[in-house]
Amino acid sequence: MSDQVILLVEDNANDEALTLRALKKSGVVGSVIVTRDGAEALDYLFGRGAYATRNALDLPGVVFLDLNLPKVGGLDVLRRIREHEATKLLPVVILTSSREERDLVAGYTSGANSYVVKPVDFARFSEAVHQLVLYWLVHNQRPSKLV
Amino acid sequence: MGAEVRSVRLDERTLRAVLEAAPDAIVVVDGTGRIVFVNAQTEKVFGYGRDELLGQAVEVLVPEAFRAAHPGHRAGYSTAARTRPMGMGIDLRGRRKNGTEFPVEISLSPIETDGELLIASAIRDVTDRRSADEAKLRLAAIVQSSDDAIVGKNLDGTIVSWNDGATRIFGYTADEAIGKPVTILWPPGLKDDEHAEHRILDRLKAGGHIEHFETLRRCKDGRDIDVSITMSPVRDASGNVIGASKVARDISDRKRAEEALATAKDAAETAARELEAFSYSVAHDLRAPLRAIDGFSQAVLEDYADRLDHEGRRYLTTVRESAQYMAQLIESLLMLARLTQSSLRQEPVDLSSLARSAVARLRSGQPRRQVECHIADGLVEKGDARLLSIALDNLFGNAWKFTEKRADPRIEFGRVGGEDGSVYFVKDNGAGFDMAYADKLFGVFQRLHSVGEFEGTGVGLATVQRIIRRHGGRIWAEAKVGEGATFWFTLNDREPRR
Repeated sequence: MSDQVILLVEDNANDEALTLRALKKSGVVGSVIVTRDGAEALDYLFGRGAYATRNALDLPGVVFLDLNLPKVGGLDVLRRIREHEATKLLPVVILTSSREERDLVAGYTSGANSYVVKPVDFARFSEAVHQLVLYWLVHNQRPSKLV
Repeated sequence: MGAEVRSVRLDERTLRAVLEAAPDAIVVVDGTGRIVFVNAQTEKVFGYGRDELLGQAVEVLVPEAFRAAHPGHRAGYSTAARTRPMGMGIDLRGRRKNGTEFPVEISLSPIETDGELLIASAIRDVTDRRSADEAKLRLAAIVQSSDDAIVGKNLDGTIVSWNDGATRIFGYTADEAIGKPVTILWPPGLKDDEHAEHRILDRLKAGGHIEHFETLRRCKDGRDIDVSITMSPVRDASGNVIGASKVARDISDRKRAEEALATAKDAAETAARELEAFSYSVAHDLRAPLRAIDGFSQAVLEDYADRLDHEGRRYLTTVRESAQYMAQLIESLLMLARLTQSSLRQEPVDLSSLARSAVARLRSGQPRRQVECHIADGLVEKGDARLLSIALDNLFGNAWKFTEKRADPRIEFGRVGGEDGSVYFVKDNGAGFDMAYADKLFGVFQRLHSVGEFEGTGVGLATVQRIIRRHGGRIWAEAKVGEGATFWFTLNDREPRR
């Protein structure tokens, strides 16, 4: 469907498996990077720590970001992404269980491009993931250089 | 060498001049009780001219009630005449020309002249003094009967007065307390207080007014009580501060109530915070495993379909339905919790239009159902549009749901004017319910129908009730099995809870 990488930031192994399954159904194969906490996600994006050998200029097409994350929370990850010159334009979709108003407000305030609540019904969850991939990796146009 | 005592005999003219200048009314009567002399003050006090009095019986100056007995008293005096006050221990009264009476003090002196006994009486109008005495007694009675302790102290800090209130509060009698230092009332170790009270005394001496403070005081029995103290300066006639008056009120009960209130408030706030944290955790953490249950069941259904028989697939489908139902329950509970968290707006709300929107949503959800809906126009009431919309959604949702099995489903929304104001109703001709269970209608998770019969989470009416109550209203229902139900509600009976 697209050769762009999706960065999935998700600490729950079940949700990870279900998201990967839904992505697979949408035809996204082998180009999903999974990081399991906020610190690891930032390391990946900025080419630090375990990802020191990675080319940090090579950014994912979109980040699917959970809010409740160990170490560095989702909102903090988002703020660091927006603060950093190299990543400030990176599309970030919050993908979470929470539909609390304050999380929505905090998410958009911190610069989220979209906020999607994961439905319990897997059929609807699959559909949501499919729409996200279609929108962010196919229809959406972004600057050729994010920097 | 002592001072030389000089004595002169005064002539009549001089004597008259002295008598005229006297501050008391002076009336001289002869042996028959006729007035033979009055001074200027007599005219002023009794309101008669001198000519009107001379030659009259002295009884003209006596109140009518005592006139008859007066000549007798007069005769009695004449037999043992000496200088003395008249009517000791009796409230004597004089009578003015205009008939009004007034309290007097009278001093009598016999005068022997030319063999005739004259009686001179000096009469003093004591109206002012009496009323001053009465005022003093009244004030003393007020001080004495006050529930507060009223304690006077001099500049050394010695107690000089002590009322019954002080006895009630502190336990010492007036005899025990007066003459003692005020420090007998101070709990040991309350040194700061000592300074505070001294400072206050200094300020009062410097002309300060009233100082108010709250502190601890020790009673005779050793108990320490919370008191609120007001101190004001006591001055002598020339305005010098000679002490302080202290009014102490026992505020132990108030303090205890305040503490209990503060504790309860803390507990309520903690509970509210915990509830919020709980709802948040429910929102996040309870949905995730449900998604896994649903998602992996679906994965099995998809990936292993060939290895499952019909029954196996049905079981997995049931697992999925249950997970989704539980997600709905969580959703409803969160909604219920949020109802009490958000603040209540107060603005005119068009309930008719909210009701029409609710019906429109139901129709779009089940476009094939034909339900006759009557919604009265112009039902406007003050409230929170978002919350009232949720309430009406629930009430119409119920009516919609429970009329499902009727051939001629009908829902009506309107308002009737009751004695105490307007009452709204949502009426349907659906399944109804047994009134024996009416008290269970509004409880969380209370259902009067099985899920198989009518679906639902059992949170809807609890939600509605909470919204109505927050709007200061009441909700109740009437129903008959098989004939339908009517939900009645009022709004703004009381001040709404924001």
